[in-house]
Amino acid sequence: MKRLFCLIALGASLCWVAAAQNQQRPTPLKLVQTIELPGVTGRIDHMAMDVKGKRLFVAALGNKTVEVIDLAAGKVIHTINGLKEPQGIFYTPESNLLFVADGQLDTCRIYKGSTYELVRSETALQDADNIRYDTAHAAIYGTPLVEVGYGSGTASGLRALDSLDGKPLMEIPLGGHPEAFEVAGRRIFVNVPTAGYIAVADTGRRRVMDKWPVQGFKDFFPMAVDETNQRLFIGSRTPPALLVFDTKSGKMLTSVEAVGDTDDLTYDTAHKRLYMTGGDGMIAIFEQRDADHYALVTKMPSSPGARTSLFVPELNRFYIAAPSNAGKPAKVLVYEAQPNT
Amino acid sequence: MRHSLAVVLVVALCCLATAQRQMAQGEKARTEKKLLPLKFVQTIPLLGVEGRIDHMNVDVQGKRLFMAALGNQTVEVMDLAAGKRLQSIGGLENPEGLFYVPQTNLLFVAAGAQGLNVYDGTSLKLLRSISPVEGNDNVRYDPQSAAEYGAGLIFVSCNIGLRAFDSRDGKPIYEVPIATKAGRPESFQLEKLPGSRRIFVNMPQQGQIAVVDASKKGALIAKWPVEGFKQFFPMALDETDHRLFIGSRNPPALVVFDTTSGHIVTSVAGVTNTDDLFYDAARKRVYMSAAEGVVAVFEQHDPDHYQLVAKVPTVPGATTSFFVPEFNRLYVGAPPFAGQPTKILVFEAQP
Repeated sequence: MKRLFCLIALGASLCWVAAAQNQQRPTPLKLVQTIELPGVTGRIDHMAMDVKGKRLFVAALGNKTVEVIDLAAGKVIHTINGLKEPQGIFYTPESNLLFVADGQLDTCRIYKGSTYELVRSETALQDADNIRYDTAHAAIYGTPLVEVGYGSGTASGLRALDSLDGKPLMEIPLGGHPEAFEVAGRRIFVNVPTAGYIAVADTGRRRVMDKWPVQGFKDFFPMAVDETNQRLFIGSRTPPALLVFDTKSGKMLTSVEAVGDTDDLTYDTAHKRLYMTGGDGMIAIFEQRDADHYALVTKMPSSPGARTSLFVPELNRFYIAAPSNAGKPAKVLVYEAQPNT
Repeated sequence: MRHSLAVVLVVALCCLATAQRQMAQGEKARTEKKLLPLKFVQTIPLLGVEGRIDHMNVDVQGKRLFMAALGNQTVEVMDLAAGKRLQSIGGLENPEGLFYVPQTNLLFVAAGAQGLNVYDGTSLKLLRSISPVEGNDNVRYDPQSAAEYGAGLIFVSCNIGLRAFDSRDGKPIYEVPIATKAGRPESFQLEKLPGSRRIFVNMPQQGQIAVVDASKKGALIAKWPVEGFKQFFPMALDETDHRLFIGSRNPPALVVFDTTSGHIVTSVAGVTNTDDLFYDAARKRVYMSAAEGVVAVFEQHDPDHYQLVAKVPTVPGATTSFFVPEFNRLYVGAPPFAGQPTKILVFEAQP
């Protein structure tokens, strides 16, 4: 009898534990830190990271500044002024330089990473926007490249700058303003929403070789890539969706409902997930079941207007830029990616 | 009244001084301009040509310039007298290097993975395509091989090393298997003085220059280490002074070798990302075209001393060029940049 009671008790407790686990299944992202950006108003655009120095750089577009955050201290340690519309940003570790693309100055400004002193301005970059880092070709060029997307209509392109000094090295012309783009091997995929396609450029030939139509979706801005599975992800705003492309065939494989007004999308290789931030104040987390199957597993609130974000795999952290809202100051929300359950 | 006159006089004197200063500055600018070792003289537009531009060659007698339009998958043929495009040769996959042989009136085009194509020099029709090896890049001509083979040989760098072909029909003659898994050759140069038969080959991934003997079917005779420099792609030769020049990308530099000892003599800080280098024997200069949008001009004071004397502006991305001593011209291939279409920039070497 006693043994039977024990068994029942054990069974009941196991059921309870299982139910509790089910109820408290941790969200894939856990908020671990909030860093205030005092006095920063207006829209916030993209971010960049100095992994070694643990500094986060925020392109505070509406505030016309770049905010430099010390992540260990959890506060702003410097503000770069004199900008008009900072959009894209990148920090190059090998040369300790900060590249800032300004859409109104039509310039990519290059600052010293230690003193924030302006070292160079690459001009004639109308509506300079996204910046990406291209290490794939360092063996040929002797230095990694910093690619800057710019322009409108047929006067658009990606300009490659030398990561050591910011001098222009080459250009790939495009047929419309480039939104997000990703370097993968010898190719660069570029969202060109005004033309309704993804431009596929060959870095060896330095030109667009292919254009993949994006049918049924408009305003597709952010992009991420899974090189292992040869998948390309883009975030559409109209309608809000995650679109998955096969990078071999250029065909759209599937689409999943997403959050609204997105501007950044990341593929987390270690956890096989995608994080998408929406200006509607939500984060969408998608699970990659296999190369062809994706599910929206979590939709969690961030902050209104927080459409830009940055995932840093080395630190397993996801940073979301939340603009000032309803009297509350602008801030950076820091999340830790949780293990898969 | 007297006061006003004085004011007018002072203003007039100031204006005169300013004008004189401006004239002096203008004169200085003109003098500086005059002193530029390369004078921009012509633009040859290449509308519709897309992507990266690779190496060039010239038909001196016919005044034609051939350009490997790698990104565009064509070879562009230009009339230098008229300053315009004559023809575009299609059907190519990554054309990289080319050479026009006047003795046989044939154009040899190395097309990356495709192989070596041989065209009739007049009709520009494809005569032959040789394609068992990949990575075909630079093309050179060795007239001295005629003593052994009845005609000069065409040398092509590729994934196995160098390959030699008969310049009359493109028939393969022999192979120089100096490439290893570590990497394939980049630019190479042949000695041309009678009796000198060495070929110097840049092997950047192996960190050395391979020296082979063209009189012994390309037998490897030496390996010169290139210490302190990486990604050294272009090469030029000053045979009279026994000097070999290579252009390093990391760090950007002109590196000078003594071809007698195989040692580095000196190096001079260069320009970013170069792909072509020429020695102007008449003016004792070296021209280095680089992606940062300049041609760097180095003066050779003597075989051991070099100085970067000018950075002549071109267009960013213009890494390749071709110097023709007979015309005293340097042709620079300028790819599309900031909305500007592809073009050839023609410079005249100044005394």
